Amino acid sequence: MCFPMMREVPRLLTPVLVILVVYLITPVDVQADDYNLLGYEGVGTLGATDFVSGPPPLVGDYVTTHCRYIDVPNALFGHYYLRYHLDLPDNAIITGVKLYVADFDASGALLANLRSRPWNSRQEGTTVGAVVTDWAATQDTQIDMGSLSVTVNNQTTEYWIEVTPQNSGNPGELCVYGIQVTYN
Amino acid sequence: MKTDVTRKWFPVAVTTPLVLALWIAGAGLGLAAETADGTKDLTVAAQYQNYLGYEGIETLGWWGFVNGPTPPVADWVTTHCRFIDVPNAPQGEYYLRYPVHLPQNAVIKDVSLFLADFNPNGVMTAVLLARQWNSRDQGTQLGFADTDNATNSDKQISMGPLDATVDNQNNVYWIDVTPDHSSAPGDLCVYGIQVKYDCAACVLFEDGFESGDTGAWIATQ
Repeated sequence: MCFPMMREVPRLLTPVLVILVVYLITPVDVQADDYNLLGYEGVGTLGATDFVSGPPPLVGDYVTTHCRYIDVPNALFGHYYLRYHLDLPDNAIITGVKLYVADFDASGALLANLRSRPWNSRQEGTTVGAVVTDWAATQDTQIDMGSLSVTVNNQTTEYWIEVTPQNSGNPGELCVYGIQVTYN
Repeated sequence: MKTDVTRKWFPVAVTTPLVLALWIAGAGLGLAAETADGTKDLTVAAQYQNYLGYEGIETLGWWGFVNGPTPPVADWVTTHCRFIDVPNAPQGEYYLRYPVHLPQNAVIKDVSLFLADFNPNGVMTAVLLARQWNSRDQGTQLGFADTDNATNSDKQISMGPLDATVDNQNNVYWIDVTPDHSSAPGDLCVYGIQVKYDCAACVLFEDGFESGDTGAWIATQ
């Protein structure tokens, strides 16, 4: 009597195993979320290339297009920054940062960094992502820091994006419309 | 023949519901880490929100003014530390003001500040305030901390423990930082602020999912 039942065991287990294997190899469907920042949210600040301390620089805005810029001509990378604080949920994983910017400066560019530091420190910060506009283009452009994997820990760390221009005599040629941070 | 058909489909009939049940249970476990729309579950107890020192909005205090232009600010560059750039200002004359945006029903447990106090005679005072959003009230103090003026160093100060429940329908919340300056205003500056809050009772989505009203959540699908 037992022998026929034993023969059924493989038939019982086969569909179980097949479905379990399919279940285990199915990618977890983690939905990406996006966190948008207005260009206006950038706080004008100084950079270490040229300053130790001092008043923040002038900023200017294009009104109908909502595009903010550092309003100081002939600035080099690292002189001035628009700094954007990131406020993401704990354990979020930052997977990408895109910026929509204007670069109508034929000889200039905008450089963007994603940075972090322990919130209760005086460290300068660690760069965990970066992207720069094409020096040749004079147009609105979307730039992308590429594939990132930064896990947010708000208990220990603060995060921000900083954008610094290398401009010419017309600083308004380089401005920030908005930023999109993608995270899981 | 009838017996053979039953025997053929018996294993599938028994195991498929079993495996599907396991699958659904697994998916349920996954939802414990993520909410229905895939966003992170913020209802775990302790959450933290940080502010850069740069985010402080420079404003006047009633101690010295009725109205007027906002005061100048300045920054220490490599350390990212912001200060009111007016010498010899007493407490209450100028503020760096940080709006606090937290979810409904969050409970503020603590506010910590990382500051520089290199002024041997001055201190930095920080206050957590709230007022009815549609009012002209000066604000009600919910928490307080200040540096001591005995040492010249970077300092972390804390208002805790606090127990202030956020009611965004009625109130606005902010953190004020005011310096007691000497002739070198850069001796007192703000690196950053951290707000610790409990989000177990937070309402994060209009569908009521976080409140446990799963019926409301299902109705939106």
